[in-house]
This record gives sequence, structure tokens and C-alpha cells, in this order.
Amino acid sequence: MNIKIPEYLLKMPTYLPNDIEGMIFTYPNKFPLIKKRYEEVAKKYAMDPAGFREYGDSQKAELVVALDNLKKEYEEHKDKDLEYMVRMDQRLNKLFCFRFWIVNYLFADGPIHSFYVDNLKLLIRKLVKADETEKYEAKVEEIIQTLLQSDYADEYLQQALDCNTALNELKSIKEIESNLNKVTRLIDEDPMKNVNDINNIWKEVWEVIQNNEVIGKKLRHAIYQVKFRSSMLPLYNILTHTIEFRKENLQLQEKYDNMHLKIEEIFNKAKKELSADEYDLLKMSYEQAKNFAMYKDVMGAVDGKLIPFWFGIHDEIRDILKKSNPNMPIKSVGQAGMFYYLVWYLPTDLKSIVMTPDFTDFSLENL
Amino acid sequence: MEKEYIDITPHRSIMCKISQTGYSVQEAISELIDNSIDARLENEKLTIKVTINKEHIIIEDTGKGMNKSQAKDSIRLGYSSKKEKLGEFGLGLKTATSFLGEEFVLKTKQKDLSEEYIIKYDENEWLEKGDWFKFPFIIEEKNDKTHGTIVKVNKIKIDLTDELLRKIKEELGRRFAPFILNDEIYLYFNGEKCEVPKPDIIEGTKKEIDIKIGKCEIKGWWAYQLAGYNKSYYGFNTFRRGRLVTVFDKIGLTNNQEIKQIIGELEISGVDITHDKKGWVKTSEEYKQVEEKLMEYFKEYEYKPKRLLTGYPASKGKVIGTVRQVNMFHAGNMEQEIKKVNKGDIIVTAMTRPQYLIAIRRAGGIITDLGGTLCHAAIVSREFGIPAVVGTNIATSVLQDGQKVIIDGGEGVVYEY
Repeated sequence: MNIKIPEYLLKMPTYLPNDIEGMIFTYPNKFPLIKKRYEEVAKKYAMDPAGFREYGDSQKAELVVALDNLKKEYEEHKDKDLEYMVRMDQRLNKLFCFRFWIVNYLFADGPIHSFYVDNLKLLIRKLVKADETEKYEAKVEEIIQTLLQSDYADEYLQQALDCNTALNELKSIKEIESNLNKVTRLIDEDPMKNVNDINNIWKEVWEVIQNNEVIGKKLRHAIYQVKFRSSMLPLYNILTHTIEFRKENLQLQEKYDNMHLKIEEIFNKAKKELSADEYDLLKMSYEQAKNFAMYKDVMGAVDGKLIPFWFGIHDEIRDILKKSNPNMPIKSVGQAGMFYYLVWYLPTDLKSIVMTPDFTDFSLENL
Repeated sequence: MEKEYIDITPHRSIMCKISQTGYSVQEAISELIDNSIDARLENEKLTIKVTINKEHIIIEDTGKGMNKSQAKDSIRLGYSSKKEKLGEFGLGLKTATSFLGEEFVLKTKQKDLSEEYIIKYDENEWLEKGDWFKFPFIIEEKNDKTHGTIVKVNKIKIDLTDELLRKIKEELGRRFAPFILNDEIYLYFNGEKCEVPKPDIIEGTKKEIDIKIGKCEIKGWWAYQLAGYNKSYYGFNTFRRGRLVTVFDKIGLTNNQEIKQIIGELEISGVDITHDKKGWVKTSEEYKQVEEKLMEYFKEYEYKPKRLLTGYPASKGKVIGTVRQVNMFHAGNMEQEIKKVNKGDIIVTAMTRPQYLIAIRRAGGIITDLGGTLCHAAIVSREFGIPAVVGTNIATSVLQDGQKVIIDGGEGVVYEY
């Protein structure tokens, strides 16, 4: 293999496209060691797809453990004052920066990602042959979309595919047959207009199916949402989705099942048409693009736990600060909200906690 | 000068070669259905059943069946007594069956006749010892009141996949839509009724067309399609004598942004079609007249939209839709956000989250502030075939809820509508 990534692409980026909260400006200032850590792993895994996956898994494992620990500690802590909350936010930022941000943003949206996506697009343009411009462009576009899509089923797709099994299971339960027919009619007629009647039926159906293991497993994401949102609507929505998109979901399954064959075919053609170096680069570009997209999903799976906890702390801090700052605007905030919004209203001593650089390295023990 | 008379009887292989027309399976089966439709009985709804499996393809109908001389002629290449009907070229039975399999058996019977006529064709046997002048024609006694024709193709040549079977069913519903909608035929595919797909059009945009030009006539409707389509999927389903000729035909349409959202159905008369029935004879004067007239008609609908935003072209396709600002980024009231999205709306959000799946599935397009080629929004929109422009940075600030926009997911541009 003769692939070379220019050195400058392995350096800490100064801009990220997927960065509405400006973490690329905040984090290297707050946690200066992140630069070194990222550049080490960038060098190590930029051309090692299997290594990157191992690295991603290890980061997620630590992220989950640390998050659970922090959450437990926070819940058990009595008399939480503002300082404790601010310090907890800073610990969450450090965890997020070292164990989430590298995989999910610096790799997946950064210069290494651009290098591979650009090369994948360029090589496909070389691979495709067609006499007419329109046909050529259409073919190029189709292959690029297929390769960028890859044969990985992310959480969105997996949810849609799981609905196929859930629907079969629902159909096999005799006690809900008439309700299922009724709700199907209502959904086919107009799922938005009939939403109240639909949800009333789901309420009755849920009474019967709530202990069904298959349904419990396949609709687990929605059931999880029900628990932490204290509302049955996420579950009713996914049940409606199961019926509303039943035909499309079957087609998705078929498309997904055939995806690996389609990709194999592209690479067989590439092997014949491209030089050995180009083929290797295409293969590597595909593998890494797939990895980056996949690990966005893998890491994103902790959102369900992370966001309510972290944003909940922000809400509590904001409510306290509002009392002494009546003119404070009410804004929704993201992960880095402390740095660009809440910090302006903190007492001076707490401001300095937020704005003082943290030169220590990350470890589970000293978090 | 010397003049000789030579034998130009076609070579036997012509029977096989005529099937090499670049048919799709759907087109070949449609040829056989055409023959069934031509054999409708007056005042009686015709039932056509298409059965396909790995062993054979069967097309059976409850039509009037053929009499002896019609049955004999049915195997003759290029012979047709059916002027002004669908099977006007006398080629369909031979080309279609030959394309689909190595053997076919045709059985036909009329209600008041006590005979059933049978034709068996075996490609290999024909190539080896077929005789243009001595083709076997079987007559069997059958004393019942049944009627209709059945064509059974054996030793099939095509590779059947589930996806292909699904496509055939869908396309048959679309191809024979006028007959199904006029209640003239029941069309079944592997035991299931073929449904006519409902066009997804923007409410209130449907317009009727009725144009006469010389001996040609164009009748039908057109409308702007709802979001969610690939950018080449626009244009007309064109029909001749109620039978689909072309899909997404761009006749009379330009590449203009607005024009590229048009779909419709046109019944065109007075223009010839090609012998394989796959298209119109575009070199004919009549076709040119129709094309010119349609172009003139659609001229006033051309429009040059203003570019509003650019971003990463995440998922190809071009759609028009209404902007719905959905807040998926911060923990808000998820249910309220989901409720905002009607079918075909354009979701405008900072980023997408899996909990909003149902809204995303209903959406016609997605525009995000954040993200690149591999972000969630890009992946999910490609998965579900929804056009998307991501990483615009400013979409949630610039686009207003309720505003109509055009998304070009292939180019990464959002236009004002």
C-alpha cells in the first residue's frame, strides 16, 4: 500500500464544519492537552481502519463508565450548590472533549475525513465510464452515494428495519387484531389529522403488548424515551411509524440486504479499472468514511443518557442565575453552553473556574 | 441484364433474434397483457392474472379467446388483424415470450366453440428443425363454456429477484392505470391485485390539458409533484390508446427549475409509436408538432428562482416544499416539534436526531445548519431517499417557518420558490 496523507492534515484543525457551538475554539484553550492527544491518535489511526474502530470502542467504553459515575455521584450529592454544578459541567466538558469530541468531531468532520471523502469522489469519477455527460454524472453520483452510505445500518435505519419485525409480531397477537385494523385504517387515511384517535388505540394496544419481548427489544429506543421523557408519545410515534411506513420499511430492508453486493461489485470493477495504488486508496477511503459515519452513530448512542443529564444541569444553573440576573435572556444551550452563555452571569470566582485552562491530562481516575 | 428470383424466407433464428430488443421484463409482460386487453368482451370486465415464479411465467385472461384462424395467425411473425388496437404490430407474443423463456404454450378458447387451440413453441427445437410451412397446431375438444387465453412461458431466461418482482407489480399498476381506473380490467400479479400508484402532487396545482393540433390530440393533466423524488423523476407518463408508452417522458419540458417539478399523464393520439412500443417515433412530423406545442404551453410556467443558501450536497434530488423549523438540537418539546411536520415539508434544523424519525420520514427534504457529507442528517436522508443540503451554517436563521423553498440536494443549493 502506498497511501500518503499530507502531514498538515494530521495536525489539530482550526475549523470544523459541524461545530455550531465553536468547540474548536473553546476546547483547545480550556484543555490544551487535547491538541497533543488528537495529533497522536490522528497519526496512529488515520490509515488504520481496524485500529480506529478499536480506538472508537475504547473511547466509548470509557465515556459510558465515566458518565454513569458522574451521574450517580450527582444524583447522590446532597445540597448541590452553584459551584458544585459548575464544576460538574466542567468535568462533563473534559470527558466530552477527550472521549467524544476526538472520535465524533475531529476525525469524523475534520481534515482526515475531507481527505478520504474527496479522494473517494475523485476516484469514482475516474472509474465510471459513459458516453453522455448526463449519464456519466448520474452514474458517478449513484456510486458516490452508495459508497458514502456503506452497508452499515445506523440508528435511524436500524429503527426503521426493526419496525418490520415489530409489525410482524403485532400482527401475530390475536387480542389486538381489531385494534390493529382500526389503527391501520386511521393511519392510512391521515396520520396527522387522526393522531388523537390513533394514540387512543395505541394506549389500548400497549396494555396488551407491554410485556412482549420481541416488541420490547425492537422498539427499545422509543421505550427508553418514554422513561426519561415521562410521556408515552415517543412510543405511540414509533408504533405509528411502523404502520405508516410499512411498505417503505420492507423496501429499505431489501435495499439494505443487497447493499453489500452492490459495494462488492463496485470494488470488483475498481480492481480491474484502477491502478493498484488508486484501488488501495479507494478502499481505504471507503473504509474510513464508513468508520467515521459509523462511530458518529456509535458515540451518538450515549446522547440519550448524556443530554438529559448535562442539559438538565444547565437548566438548573440558568434558573439559579436568573434569580440574581433578571435581565438574563433565556436561551437553549448545547454541550458547550457554559462557555458561551452561562459564564457571563456567573459570580467572579466561578467564572474563573470556567475560564482557567486545565493542563491536566484526562483519566477516569482524576476526572 | 439478367434477373433471378431468389428465396428470401427468413432464417429460423429470426424468431429468437426479434426478442433482442432491449426489453425490460415489465415491458415484455406488458406486451402479453396488451393482447389480453385487445381480447376484452363487450360489457364484461376482463380479468388478467400474471403469475411468475422460478419455473414459469403465466398470463391468463378471461377474454373472448381466439377462433381457429386467429389462433393460427398468432404465431405468424408480423401478422396482425388488430388495427387501432394495442397489439397492432403482430410481434408481441413472439418477441415477449422469446425474451422471457425458451418455451411457451398458448391455449385459447372461445365461449361458444367446443375446441381449444394450442400452440407450443420450443426455441431449441425450432432452431434445429423448425419449418415455416409446417408449424404444429393442436386442436383439442373441450365442451365447456370457458373462454380466454393462457400463455405459459417455461424455462425462463431472466433472473428473478424479490426486488424485480416488486418492480413488475408496481409498474403493471402504473402501465395499465387507465384500464384499471376505468374499471375495465382486474389485473392480478402473483395473486395480488395491481394497484395504481397515487401520484404525490402538491395540492391545488393540478391542471387539465386538452390540446388539438392537426390530427394529433393531447389530453391529460399535470401538476407539481410533492417532495421526495429523485431529480430525474419528473415528466409525464404518456399513454396511447390507454396503454402506457413512456414514463417520466420529458416531452415539451425544459431543464428549468420549476419545470423539473412537473409530473402528469398525457394520452397522445395521432403520433406513431415504435414497433417495440417502448417509445414514440420522435422523427415523425406529428411528434415534433406535439413537442413544440407542449413546449409553448409550458413556457409560461418557467421560472428562475433566487438562490438562498448553499451547503454540502448530502442527498441528491430536487424538491419543492414548505419550511418547518424543527428544533432537534436542544431538549425541547419533542412532540410539539414532530407535530409541525406534514408530509412533504422541508425540515430545517441545526442537526437531526434519531428520536425524530417519524418527522424525518414524513419530510420531503432536510436542510441543516451543521454537518458534512457523513453527518447523521446526510446519512439518514440518503437512507430514506430524501433530498438534503447540510452544513449551511445559517439555515435556521435565514429560512422562515412556512416559507416555500426548492432544495437541490445534488448541488447543495436551496432556492426561493
